[in-house]
Amino acid sequence: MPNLRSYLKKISFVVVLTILMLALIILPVLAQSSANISFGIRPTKALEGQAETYSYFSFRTSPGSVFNDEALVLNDGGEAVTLKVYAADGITARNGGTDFAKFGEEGDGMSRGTHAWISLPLSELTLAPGEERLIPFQIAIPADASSGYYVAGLVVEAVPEVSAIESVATTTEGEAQFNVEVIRRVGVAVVIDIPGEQSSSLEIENIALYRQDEQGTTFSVDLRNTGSTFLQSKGFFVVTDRNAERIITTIPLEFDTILPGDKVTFYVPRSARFEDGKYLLSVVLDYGGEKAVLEGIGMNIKNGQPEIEGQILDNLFTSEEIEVFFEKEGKGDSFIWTMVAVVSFILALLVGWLVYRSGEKKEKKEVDPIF
Amino acid sequence: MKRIQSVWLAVFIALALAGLLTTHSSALSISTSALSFPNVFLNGYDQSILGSTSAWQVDASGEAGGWNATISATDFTNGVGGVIYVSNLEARLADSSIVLVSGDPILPTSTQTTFAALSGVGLKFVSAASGTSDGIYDLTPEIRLTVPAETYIGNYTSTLTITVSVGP
Repeated sequence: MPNLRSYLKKISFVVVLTILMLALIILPVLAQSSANISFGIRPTKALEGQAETYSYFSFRTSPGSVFNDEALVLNDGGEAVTLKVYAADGITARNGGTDFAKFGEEGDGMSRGTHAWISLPLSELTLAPGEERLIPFQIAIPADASSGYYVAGLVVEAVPEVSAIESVATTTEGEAQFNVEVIRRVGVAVVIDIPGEQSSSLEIENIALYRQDEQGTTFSVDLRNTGSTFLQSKGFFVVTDRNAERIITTIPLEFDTILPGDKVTFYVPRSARFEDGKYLLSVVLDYGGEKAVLEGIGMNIKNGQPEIEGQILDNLFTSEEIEVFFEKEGKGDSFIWTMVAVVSFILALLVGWLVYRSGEKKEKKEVDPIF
Repeated sequence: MKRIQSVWLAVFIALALAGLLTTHSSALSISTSALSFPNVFLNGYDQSILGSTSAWQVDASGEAGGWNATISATDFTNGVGGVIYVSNLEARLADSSIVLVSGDPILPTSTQTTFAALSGVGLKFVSAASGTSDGIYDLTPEIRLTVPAETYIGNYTSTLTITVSVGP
């Protein structure tokens, strides 16, 4: 009997302690999620050999095919939420990367109209806190779809919140007041790869000075993906003097994905202003081993006021000179990694020597007793 | 000694249960705070005002494939013909305004550190590369509105769309 009592006492101790610790871990998470509604959408299964399907849907299929899948919509916030659910065309965001057209709108690129390829059984749903629901959907690829990569999206959207309404009462004569409705959306891409002849092509359409102020300078670069595959690019924004004899600055560029057919603006900041003078602006990019170049755009700054003058000079850089830009960058990387390897090797030798020395001392102690 | 064993057992059970309760299903999500602007006395000159908002939170727990967030907006209209074009509304996110709440200490990066005008097309302002930023992060963007000199009095409204996405 005393044994049983002690056993029960021990169990109740573990249970109470577990509950207390659980409360300590879980309560902050719950408090955080109940502060605002929070919801999401994701695939329910991943395909072997396609790591991206852990995050978004990706299908390799042929024109005219019809198939089904399902998405999981969940409310991981602390209050019930009503969500609009719809399929959208994939578009490229400014600064690159996947975004989705708004409800009822279409994209401009190759993925225009792909929202219509996806059929959903519902357009709205309400989820209780912590509730999740499987949403089946069907994809029907048009029989005349040409080869290439298409992006559609499954989007969940919360009812807008309106802010600043409370300030209506405080408006006085001669004032304007500003309210902002905030629409929150979460989107997951549905990538459709239609095999066949595919092309990879990037055009730099424009370079401009977006802004120059006390914070520095921001340029804008307009790119168009004229191929049928996703494109990411790396390269340099190069500013030279008007005679292209001296490089004034080189800004490394790394541009995120552009969907096929999309035109995108990327912003390139520089933390310093340009003094009055005449300059030439150029952009050289590498995308999968291919090069895209736009060079010799004139920029004239007079009394701090910049003016872009269009292309003044072409053939500023030979193809060998362009290669040198990228080689320099590659060499820079390999130098850093070589240094890391050398330092690691020396440290490993040092640690090995210290371990050996301490072992030697211990051995000595065992052989030569103190007493 | 037995008391210590019981404590360890309780810790283990608590951690296991917490893990199950908090990670059994997750998906990329964003929660935003309200954005408000002060009223502006119209004095015949262009005036810039900063919006105030508290941190927006992206929960990318379990999202190892990379993600991004975009912001787009509409013109401010007052319902009686007054318009402030959306190009007067600008946003930026300083890298220092991205704060780890929990999860991967490799923070997502700002892709718009200087002010850029908003438009109907989403402006990507933060992104995480594949294999990074699997966690919860607070983002506090700065949003600035230039009220043009020719603005009429009234109550103006704009719609901001914040989208968090996973894709190629």
